[in-house]
Parts: sequence; C-alpha cells; structure tokens
Amino acid sequence: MSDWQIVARVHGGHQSAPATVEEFHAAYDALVDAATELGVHARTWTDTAMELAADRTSVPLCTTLSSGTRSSSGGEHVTLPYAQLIAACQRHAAELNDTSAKLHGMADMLARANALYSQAERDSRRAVTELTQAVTQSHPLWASSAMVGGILGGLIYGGLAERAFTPGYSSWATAPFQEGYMSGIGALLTDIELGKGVVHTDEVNQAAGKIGKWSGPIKDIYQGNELTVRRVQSRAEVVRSSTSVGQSLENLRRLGEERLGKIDLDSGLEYGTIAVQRYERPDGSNAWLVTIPGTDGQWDSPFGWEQNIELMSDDPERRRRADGARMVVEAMEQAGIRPDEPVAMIGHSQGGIVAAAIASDESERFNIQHIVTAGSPVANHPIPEHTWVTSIEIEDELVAALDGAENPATDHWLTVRGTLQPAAGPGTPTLNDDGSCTPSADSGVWGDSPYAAAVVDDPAETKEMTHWLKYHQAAYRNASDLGGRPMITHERHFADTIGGELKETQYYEGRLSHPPGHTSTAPGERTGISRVGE
Amino acid sequence: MPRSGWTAPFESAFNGCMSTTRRSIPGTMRTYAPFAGSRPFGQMPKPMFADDGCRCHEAVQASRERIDAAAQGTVRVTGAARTALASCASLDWEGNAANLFRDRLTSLRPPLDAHDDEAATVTRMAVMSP
Repeated sequence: MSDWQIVARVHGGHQSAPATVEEFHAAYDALVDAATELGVHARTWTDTAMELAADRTSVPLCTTLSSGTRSSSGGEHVTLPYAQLIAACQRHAAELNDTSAKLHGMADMLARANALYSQAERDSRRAVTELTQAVTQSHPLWASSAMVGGILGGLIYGGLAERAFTPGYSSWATAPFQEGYMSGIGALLTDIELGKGVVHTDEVNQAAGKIGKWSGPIKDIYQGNELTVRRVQSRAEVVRSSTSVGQSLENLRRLGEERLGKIDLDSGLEYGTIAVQRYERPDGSNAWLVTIPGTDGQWDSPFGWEQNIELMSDDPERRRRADGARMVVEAMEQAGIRPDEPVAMIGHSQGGIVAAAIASDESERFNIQHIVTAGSPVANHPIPEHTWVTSIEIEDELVAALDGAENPATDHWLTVRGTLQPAAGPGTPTLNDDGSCTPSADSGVWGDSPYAAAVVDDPAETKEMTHWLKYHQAAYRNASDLGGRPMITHERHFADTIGGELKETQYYEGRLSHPPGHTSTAPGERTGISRVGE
Repeated sequence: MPRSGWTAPFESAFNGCMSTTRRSIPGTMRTYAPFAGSRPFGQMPKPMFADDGCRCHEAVQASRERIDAAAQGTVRVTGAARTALASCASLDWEGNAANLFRDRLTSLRPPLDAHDDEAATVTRMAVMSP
C-alpha cells in the first residue's frame, strides 16, 4: 500500500501586523541564504575530494605520492593519506547537505505557516486561470481538446506508473487549468464578452443559474418536489462532541461514510441524513453545529447530483429552492434554532455548498457565524462579512475548482490548500482520539520535519481522486501543525462559536417524492415540505 | 634515459591520441588537449622531476591548499548559518511547527560546531602528514 501525504498552504485569514510580517520575511530570507550557502559549500567539499584524487595521480611515476602512505625510503618523496582525506571530504559534504536541508525545511515551514508568499501564489494562479479562460472562450474546441489530451495523458501516465486505471492522475495533470477552463465554459454559456472575464469571477455561477432554470424542473419530474424531513434516531454515536475543526471534520467523515455504508457503526442511519447538535454555553444559552455530508446520488435524496447545479446558481431564489438547502433549513427549524443563537456549519462537497448557500441566503433567519467547507466550490457565494469561512481544498481534486475561481482571501475567509505527494520514509503519524496528531519521524519533505506534511489516513493502493474527506483532514492537520496567526485565529473563532457542553445530537433525514395525486410540476413551483414525526 | 622519464618516441598505430610524438599516421586523430591549462583533468602529466626535486611536493602542497580553502569556507558558511538562526529567535509564531522550529534553533548549533571541527580535523590530517 502506498503512503501519501498532504502539504498544506494557507491563504487569507487574519494576518500578523506588517512589522511582524517583515520580521518573518527577513528570517525566511536569512534561513534560505544560509541553507543555500551550506548546500553550495557541500559541493565545494565534493569537488575537493575529486581534486584530491586527481592530485594523487598527477605524478604517475611517483609511487610514493600515488600510494598515499608514507615512504620508508627517506624524505625525497611525499604524499598525504589521500584515501582518508577523500572519505572525510565526502562525509563532510553529506553532513553539510543534511544541515542545509534542515534549514530549508525550517524556512519552508515558516513561509507556509505565515502565508509569506500567499499573494504571489494567488497572483500567479489568477494569471493562469484568466489566460486559460480567455483561450477557452476564444478557442473552445482547441481548449477542450487540450483538456481531453491532459486527461488521457494522465490516464496513460497512471497506467504506466501504477499499472491500474487511475483517473486521479487525469485530474492531477489538468489541475492548473481546471478553474480557468470552467470559467471559460461558463463565460461561453452566459455570453460574457471575451476580455470582460478579467473583472468577473462568477462565470460558472451565472451558467449554473441559467442551466438550473431548466434542470431544476426536469429534476422535479423524475425525483419529485415533495420534500419530507423527519427526525431519526441513531443506534450508535456517529457525530460526537467537538471543540475544534479537526474533530468536526472527523465527525463529518463518520456521518458521511456511515450513511453510505462505507463504514459500519451500526447506527441505522441512511443517506440524506444530517446532524444538528446543540451545545449549551456557560451562560445557559445555546450554540449549534450542523454537520452536512455531500452528494449521495440516491434516487429520492435531496442531496442528488442535479441539486449541485441549483446550489451553485447566482440566483438566490434558485439556491433557496435547491432540495439540500431546503432540507437543512427545515431541519434547523425543527431542531429549534432561534435567529439569535450562534450557528456553525460544516459540510463536505455538496454539504459545503449547502452551508455556503444558507449562510448567503438565510442570514436573517439564522445567525451563522462560521462555516467550514471541505472540497466545495464556493468562491462566488455571497457569504456575508460577519460569517467566517474556513475552506479546505485539495489542488487536484477537481470539485473545488468547479467554481472557476479562487476563494477570497480576507480576514474572515481562510483557505487551506493541500497538495498531494507520495510520502517517504518509515513510520506513520497517529491520529489520536482527541484529534491531535503524533507525528512520524520522517515525512520526506524538506529537512525531515514531521510537520512539513501530514500523512493521509487509510491511503489507497493507487493514486485516487483526492476529493475524499480524508485528504481534506490531512490538509487541515498539516495546516494546524504549522500554526501561524491565520490558522489559530480561525480555529479559535470556530471553537468559540460552538463553545459549550454538548447537550444533544439530532439526526434528520430527507426524502423526495411526488405529492399525492401528482401528475406534473409547474416550472418554478418548488414548495412542499412535510415534517414527519419520529 | 631522458631526464623526463619518457622513452624516446616510437611509431605507433594509435599515434596522435594525447601523445607527445610529433609523427602521426595520416588519417589518425590529431593531438589536442581540450582542457589544457584550465583543469587538472585532461592536462598532460607533468614531468616527474622539477628543477628542485620530484613534483610530488607540488602535488601535496596543492592538496593542502585546497583543503585549507575549503575549511575556511566551512567556517564562513557556518558563521552565516548561526547568524541566520539567531535572527529567528524572537519570531511571533505559535503552533507545533513553531515549537519544533525553536527547538531546531538550539539543536542545530552542535551540528554547525561539528562542521567546523570536521573541517579543522581534515586540515590537520593534511598538514601533519609529512
């Protein structure tokens, strides 16, 4: 079984004061310069070893010199212990390289933890995205062929490398262009003028709005529009108490995999199920945490495939009508969440889009203070400033790039972006019950720091698509280990939002059906929520 | 026997390949020394005896000078590394990686000292040999 690791970078969030950032930059530059000098000097010692070997044989007829041992025939000829000197030079070079790598590793951690080059990375990424969008808009056939070529190339590479069908490599090969390509297609579908795309980032959302006008009613025909939301009981504790984003991610994973039968906690919970938890604060008031898994694709589930399009729409009414959003809002009301009570939400994939849509569109009904999205394309959702957002995305997972844009990087919007790499070295870190990590000895990244990357739990045999929640968990774990003001501030805000003692965990299940006597649904008519008792 | 130690030139089928002979069979490669004058590699081996004795003395002296230069370079780069580490001592950074970072500010001092010691040892190894 291969080991994989995630290297995380942080964008956005509360930054340190400018003077502190200057100190970070100065320290980073000093470390990199020192590391580079050590590395260059290691090569000097390697070259010295080679030159000593040449010196030793530079007078071929002098057997004393070439022997490397002192002659017993008097002082007319001399030599040096060349074998020992050459070995010492090579050993010294290796040790200098090791120290150089450690210094590089320290510099790398410092830069990533404090997002020192975040703006440069974002600018570079934006440039690639806008260029790709422009090419896609002006030459859609050419751009599409290139993407197909990248997909096929990735498949071929994966087949050769792992002797298996590995679509993960297709996504990896096309990752840098996915956002731009999606934007370009979105711009074509919505007739945005070529060149105007530079000032837009929501081409995909506009396109989703256009498509959703007819996909929604079509979906109603085959799935029905009558939404039934009922509270269900769990035989086992699936979503447990949480005081951190890491713990909440683990709960999200448990719920998502249990309801699809990927793990068996014997809970009896099925697809289309979310969790609503009530925490009691020290002052007796309530705080709430809503946990929303992603698309299950079941026939009568409000978290089907089409609902993603409606949730991505730029039209708030279309988003409100999406079945997943309707279901979660209904569940929150059934649970008794009051408008003034603080709410945090966490969702994977479509679950994250639902959280973003509700935060954008129901801010007068609920006091949503913090949402966490994992693998969700939410860059263009109009989430109000007072709602903090923690987004976790993986570079080549594809789904998070479907919004065609980078997430905003503001004080209240932090994005953890992870890159998948093969892990190297012995040992794996341990995920403890409280969500903390006991690091392994060697991650194989710069300088063998255990916090340079986070190993993915339960790795796949081959490189799979990185949209599974375990990759986002690893990315968040690495970002947490790196620390830094943006991460700590966001984590603290999430913990404060739900701070208190867990009093109850409620599970709600949603099902779609056709209303009794149904023949057809009028376009745009999206009503009908039934509450069912336990 | 010539003082240089080389035997008198003789005709050879492979004449012309890095050879001191002047005669060459037509069609064979001409003599050339692409690295001559710039690097030890590729240069013609020196005559064994200089005016004041065997050239092994020169070779040993050259070796000592190389080692001495490299050792001085080690002291310079480890000094720069110590300065860099010292500049990181008061950074406002929290977290597991920050704690490890601060540990490394301390734990990297012995290896840097060891690099200096190793360089000095190699120098002594070269100097003390007769």
